[in-house]
Amino acid sequence: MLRRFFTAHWLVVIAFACAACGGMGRAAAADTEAAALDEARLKVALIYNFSQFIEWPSSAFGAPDAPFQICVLGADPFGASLLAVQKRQHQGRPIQVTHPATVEEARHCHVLYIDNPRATPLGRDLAKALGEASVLTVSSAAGSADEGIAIGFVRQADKIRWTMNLNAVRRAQLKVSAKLIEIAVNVVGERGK
Amino acid sequence: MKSLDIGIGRPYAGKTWWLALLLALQAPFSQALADPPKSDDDLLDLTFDQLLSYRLVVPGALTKLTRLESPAATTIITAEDIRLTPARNLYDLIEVYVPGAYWMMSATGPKLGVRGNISSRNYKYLLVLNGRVMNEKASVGASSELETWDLSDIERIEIVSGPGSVTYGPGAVAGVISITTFKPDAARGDSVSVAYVDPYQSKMVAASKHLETEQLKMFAHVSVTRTPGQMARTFQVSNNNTLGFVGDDVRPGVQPLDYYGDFKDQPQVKAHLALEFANGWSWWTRYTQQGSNWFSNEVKSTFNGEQVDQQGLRSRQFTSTASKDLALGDKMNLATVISLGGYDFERRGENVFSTDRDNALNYRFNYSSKQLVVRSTLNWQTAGGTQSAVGAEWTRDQYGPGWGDSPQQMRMGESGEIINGPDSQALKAGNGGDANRTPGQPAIYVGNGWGASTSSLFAETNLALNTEHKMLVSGRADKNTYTKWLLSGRLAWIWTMAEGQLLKLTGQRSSRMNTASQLFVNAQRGFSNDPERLDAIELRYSAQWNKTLAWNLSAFHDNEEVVVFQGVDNINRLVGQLKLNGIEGDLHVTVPNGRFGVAVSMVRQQSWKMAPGVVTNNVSYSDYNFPINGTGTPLHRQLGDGNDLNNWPNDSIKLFGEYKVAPAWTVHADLRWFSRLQGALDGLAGLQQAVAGTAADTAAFKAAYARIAAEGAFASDARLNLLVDHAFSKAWSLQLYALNLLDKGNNKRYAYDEAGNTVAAPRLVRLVEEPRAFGARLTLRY
Repeated sequence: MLRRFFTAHWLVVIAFACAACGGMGRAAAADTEAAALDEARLKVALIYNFSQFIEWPSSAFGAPDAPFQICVLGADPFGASLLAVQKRQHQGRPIQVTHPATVEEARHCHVLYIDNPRATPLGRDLAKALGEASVLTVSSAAGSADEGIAIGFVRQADKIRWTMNLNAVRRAQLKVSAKLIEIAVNVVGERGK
Repeated sequence: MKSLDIGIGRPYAGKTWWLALLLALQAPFSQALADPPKSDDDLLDLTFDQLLSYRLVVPGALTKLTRLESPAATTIITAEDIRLTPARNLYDLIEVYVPGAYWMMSATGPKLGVRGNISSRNYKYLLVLNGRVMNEKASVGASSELETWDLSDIERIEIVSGPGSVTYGPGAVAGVISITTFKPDAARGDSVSVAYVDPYQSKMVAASKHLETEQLKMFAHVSVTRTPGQMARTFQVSNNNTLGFVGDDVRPGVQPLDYYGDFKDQPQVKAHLALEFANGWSWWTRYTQQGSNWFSNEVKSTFNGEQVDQQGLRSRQFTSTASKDLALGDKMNLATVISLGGYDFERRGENVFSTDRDNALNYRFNYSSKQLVVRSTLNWQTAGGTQSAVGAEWTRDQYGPGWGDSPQQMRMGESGEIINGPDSQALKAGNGGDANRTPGQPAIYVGNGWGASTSSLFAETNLALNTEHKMLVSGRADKNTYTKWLLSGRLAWIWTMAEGQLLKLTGQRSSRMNTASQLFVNAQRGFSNDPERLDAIELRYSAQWNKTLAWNLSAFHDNEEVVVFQGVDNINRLVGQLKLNGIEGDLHVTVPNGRFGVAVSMVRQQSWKMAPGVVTNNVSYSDYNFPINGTGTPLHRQLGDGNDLNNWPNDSIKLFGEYKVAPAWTVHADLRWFSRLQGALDGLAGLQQAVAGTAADTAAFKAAYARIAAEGAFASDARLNLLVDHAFSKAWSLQLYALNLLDKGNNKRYAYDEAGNTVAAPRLVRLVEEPRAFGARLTLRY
């Protein structure tokens, strides 16, 4: 029975019939899903975009021509994809990608990505260790915004979204565009303070 | 003469095809897909709104699916995996990471198997590079790229385990190897690296260069690898039950081939140039040259009193491809590819029929091909997230003498019977190697060459039934000059059980054309050219439980009509029906400073039935009826024994991982364990049983079996590789690594058993004990 079902005749006829039916549907809504991407590449592009919607205090830069530093603490899931940002600039400053080994080094970062803060003592105490340093922390760990990370990536179905912790943003003395907050699927901390 | 039919499927000749395709083509193409960004740099130009519309994707379908949604069992090997894995080439790399993948040696080069599907040629899977099929179509299938030591130009490799011809084209019966090279992107910087591997004495130098202007981006890569090889311990069986290690127990004074040595001492060469233009066109061109001394039962040959590597094969391939993705509105996309290619292939045999080493009489294959491929695929989306794709492809292949050779040197066909004409070097009455050597089947004259065309049509729809359920429906039809239409189809149901947990049920048919030479010769001699077909059903569960843990589990059933060349009567035909079942799984753990994984595979033959009139086969000894002593008296006939696949380890477990032990130090280890090759053991038992009690059951025969047992042939085998990576600075890094650290099983690499013994000797026992090897690679990035 099964063998008969899987003859080329029926599979192919069903295939084309359904392809035809699918194609003859109504015109798509404007917000229908677009093309698809590798997860790491998409996150790199989002991190770069975050930096365009956030303002850092001048005290975050040691010199007028000091580079804007995007850092990865611990495991780097981005590989070569992250290096593409080094060709860009942030408000006239060159962008530099670094991999700090200590919290002291991480304090010099402007964006600090940590894949899973809970996995190491350093990561668990990251918010406390950074104190009021002007560092935008970003992570992919579930619930990271609840645990003091400024922006936490979340997957909704097959798309990437984020949650935000405004207390962490405020503590780092960063000014965040309302657009970033609007898009966030969840916001921790009070707005407008 | 018609081909044999065992009653499981008929060539489909209905006209419903055309009706269905016309219906698909008239679909109202509303708004189109966004033009996908080409590089990481392009991505940075996108707005939030654009980025938020992108989904996560893996291959295995014409429409866009996420990794979890994909109905195809796909293993992804990244550039970082390649950099940290001490693999000699892609065969090793795939064997490390892909569940169940296993490779063997043969006279036509290494043979890769997936899910129990392995053959004497690599024509049961497709090798795809940047979306273009790179298989050598005339004889050998996937050959170029796979033996290359240098892999540093590859960004990622996606391996589809199981059938996939509905997406990738005819030939993807066992799987697909899809390679993506680095894109033009200056941000990656430039690099130079050198490497050395002992005892193969392999020396490699490679360099990559990126460039970017306002008008174009460029990536260029070049490498040269020279490998003399090593005379590894080679166990084989000669006639009259003489067996043991070459030069020692058997054939004293004769040397084995230099394992992994360059064919004709010519180095491997790889040159790649990719350009992306501001107007959206992409163009890449690539040249590869690779050749090695591979054997199944051969040793060095003697010319002028000197032992030399005569047996071997070489592939040289040139490909130039232009492509453009054109956005037609917001929801529609037209992808067009135009590609030109050339392939030069030669295989020289061990036997000496002419004192001129490169005389056509000493060759089995020596020819080249030219190819033109044109393909267009239209993708669009409709209401509710449903996606559809439809496309067409046309390919022209022209075959002729090898590059730089005269027409008189050309040899093609399974017996080297396709030659230019009566002035061919391959015609020499009374001498071996003659193109006329098969009785009643004289050589076929083609002058300066011959050609064939293939037309293909394909379509797919990805129906979003609701938020939890999707249905993927795909179909493809291919027709060659010398075949009827080949049909492939797939129906897949995708159920999102919970966030990050999906269950997929897939039923599909995959098809394979015979090689171009086989199609041509069969057509010339009046035989039909029925395709090989594989019907498969698979249930797959994929889960991404959290950031740390991801895993997949598949259960599958394959029903395959196996078509191969039969040397007994020199035609290509159906030899039997194979049914098998399998379970595969892989689990990946990501921790802050490392990654670890395990891949397991269990494949069991359910049944194997030879077609009427067939007496021997490579698939399994479970159905077998072969006169092992020819016309000897009494006639010893080996009958079916056991119920396992030949040329396949039933079970395998693979462990792999890497860990950053310090900021500048990373350690990688991988372990492969293959269980007993039970099907081969069945072949030995069957032979023993056939001879038992006859005049051939001599003391020498029994001693031969004792020797095989002492060697531990077809027993379990485990391999352990280790690598240490140290970054001295941002610019300099050094890797030190070791292969085959364990002695368990002596790291045996078996030769593919093509069965059909003609003497009472277990010739299926042929292997190399691969040596422990050590390598170093120094890289400068700037």
